[in-house]
Amino acid sequence: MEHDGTNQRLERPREQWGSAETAPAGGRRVEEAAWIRRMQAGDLSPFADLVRRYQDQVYNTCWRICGNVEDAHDVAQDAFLKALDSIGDFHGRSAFYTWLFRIAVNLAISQRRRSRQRMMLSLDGSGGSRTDADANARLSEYVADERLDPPEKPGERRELQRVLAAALDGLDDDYRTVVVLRDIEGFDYDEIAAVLSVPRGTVKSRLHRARQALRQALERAGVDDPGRRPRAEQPAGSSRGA
Amino acid sequence: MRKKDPDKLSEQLSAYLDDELSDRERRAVERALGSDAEALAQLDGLRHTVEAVRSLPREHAPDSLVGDLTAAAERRQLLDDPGRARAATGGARPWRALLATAAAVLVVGPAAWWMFGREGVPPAERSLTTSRGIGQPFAADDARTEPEAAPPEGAKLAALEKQFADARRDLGVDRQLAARGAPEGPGRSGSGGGQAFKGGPAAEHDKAAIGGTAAPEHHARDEIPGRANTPLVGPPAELAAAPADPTTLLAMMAAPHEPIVLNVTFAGVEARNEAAGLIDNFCQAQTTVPPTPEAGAKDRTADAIRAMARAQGDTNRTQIAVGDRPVQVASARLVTATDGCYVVQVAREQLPAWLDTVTHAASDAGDLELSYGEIRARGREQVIESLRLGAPTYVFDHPTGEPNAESAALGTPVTAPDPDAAERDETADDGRQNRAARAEREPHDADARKREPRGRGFADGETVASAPASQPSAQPGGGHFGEMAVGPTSTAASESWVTLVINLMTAPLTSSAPAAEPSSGGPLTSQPAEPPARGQP
Repeated sequence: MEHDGTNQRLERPREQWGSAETAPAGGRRVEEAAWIRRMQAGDLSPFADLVRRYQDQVYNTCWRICGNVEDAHDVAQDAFLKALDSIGDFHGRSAFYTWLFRIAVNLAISQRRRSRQRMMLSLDGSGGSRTDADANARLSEYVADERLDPPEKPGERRELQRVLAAALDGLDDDYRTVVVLRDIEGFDYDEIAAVLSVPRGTVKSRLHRARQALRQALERAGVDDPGRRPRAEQPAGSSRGA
Repeated sequence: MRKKDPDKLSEQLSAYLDDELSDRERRAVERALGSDAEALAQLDGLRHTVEAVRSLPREHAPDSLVGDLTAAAERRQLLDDPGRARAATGGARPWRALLATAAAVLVVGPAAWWMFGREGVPPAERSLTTSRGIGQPFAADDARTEPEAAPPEGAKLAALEKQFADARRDLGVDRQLAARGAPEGPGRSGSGGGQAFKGGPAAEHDKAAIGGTAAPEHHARDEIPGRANTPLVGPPAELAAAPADPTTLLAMMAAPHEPIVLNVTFAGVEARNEAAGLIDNFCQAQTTVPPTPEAGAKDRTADAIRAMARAQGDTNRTQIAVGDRPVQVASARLVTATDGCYVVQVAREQLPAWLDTVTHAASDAGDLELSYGEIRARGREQVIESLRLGAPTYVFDHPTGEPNAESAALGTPVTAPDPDAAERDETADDGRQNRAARAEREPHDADARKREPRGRGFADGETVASAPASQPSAQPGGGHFGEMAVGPTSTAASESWVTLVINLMTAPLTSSAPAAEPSSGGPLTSQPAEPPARGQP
């Protein structure tokens, strides 16, 4: 018997690109190419348009990789400026947004590592990482917003997201990045491979392992399946890449 | 598949969810799913996980991000990051050189007219106004004066060309050239292949051509060897005819009629950034004097502007009142800024202190942090000396002794000869030492300087290139723009605003004092090949 997978496969989350829709195509790509040519010629006026088009995606990606909004803001800003500085080196061999995200992701990972080093060097004894604390604080705010609860299952969805966000934050950078790019920002495997400069097979493998780790974290917390009770109060924080 | 490699099936399931499998792989997975309940459960669990990840809250970028980035980008462009600039222009920055060159050309004409030709003009006619309106940006001269400039690129260049053409039309360049029978267009420059510079006599000639206030007179030294041979152009006719009333004063605040071009080279980008930031800060407060104040307030406005113009030292803004309304007046006003070239209008009285502060920025920073490098102290000295002489000049400073692109485009720098250059060289690596050395060389007390009326900086017939820098312009009417020069003045010029065209440039960091300039053609040592034709002993 062959399984009918039409209801199982997940559509690419294009809506996640927000008002900028998804990766630019057709007229948008042509328009974008014109912007880039103008910027390469020294005209900075299209820069604001490019920023508007991608700021939410870049910012979100940085937020999820860095783990806190402050670093995300700085990294997103740096990414756009670095792209501007290097616009002369962009030859159109890849899509601009792929190129932009490569810059952003690399900066975000570097920032995350620096933050982690600072945390490890910290002698304040407060325990827990700053990024974890920030992420949890923001998530708590989100959880506290009852408007987001589906009326039939109050609290469960938000608890699921809280656990999941903590688990995602606990993943190794390589794994967290592919999850963010694929499941949050909607990149396909080829695009992720281009952003991370890794083979497509590596993307596939990392994504699989990351999802397994997240799945296990949800199972440990008992929130993997609505209706099941949590088996542990403590959220899974460091799945470390499965 | 699963029995052989459960991880492989799991991975395929993950990719299956994303529709990232080939047709063959997808069919294999669907076959496994049809016969393996555990695989199906695993797929279901993965799908829930992915959906949960997708449901995570998203953050919108802060509203300020676009504005912050745009401002940062503009600032970077102003600071002329070399790498990006090269990338943006394919390795050249012709438009900037064009702007600098054209600005310098435009500057020299009216300024020289002011310096050399205005003595015969009745006081009532000395007030300056132009056909440009308040707030209208400074327009540079046309590109024809710079045949070496690279061809225009892009819209910015096109806009610049139009600006140059407008300025050329405003100044009546073609009319003057036609009156003199000079060829027009590219290639009309002097034999040196550069620009045809003509000094005071030529300015008088120009003035006569456009205003008829002085008879043309030929002088032996029409050109200064080694200098850019840019024909001087006089101011437009209306420049000499406007009455000195408060409205004119207001107009003068926006009419850049007497600009001074300064090319300040900093050792390193950081040092230049300091100066750029300082300029930005100084110019934050825009002049808000109403352009057409009511009649009763005109006098008070004029008085207030004069009072503001007399503000000294670090006072860059003065609170005044027009009628009953307090008005914030800035003594420095940013006209335009592009690619490291700032066009700033400064109250004349504050010009020395203002510029001194700007040129000090990097040296002060260098005192604090060695990595900022050193401002070229000698270049700063040049600036001060030039101002002290009231000379319209542009100053170069090349740490390596090699002209950069900007200087190549502008030609040989024009500056007053400085017999003390060698002495200053000895202390060129320390701005404070320089200041001390200058104080020793120039023991004029501040009171004496205050008593000196300011205006043009030369006796009749003197030229920029012939006036000794060490001459403190003690003669009546002589200018004194030294750091200590303060106080009210009596001439219309001293009440006006001065337009500065400041090119902030960088040079490679160097830890040593600047190499000695060649005996000719260098910024400090460019001597005229011939003595001044008149007015010199």
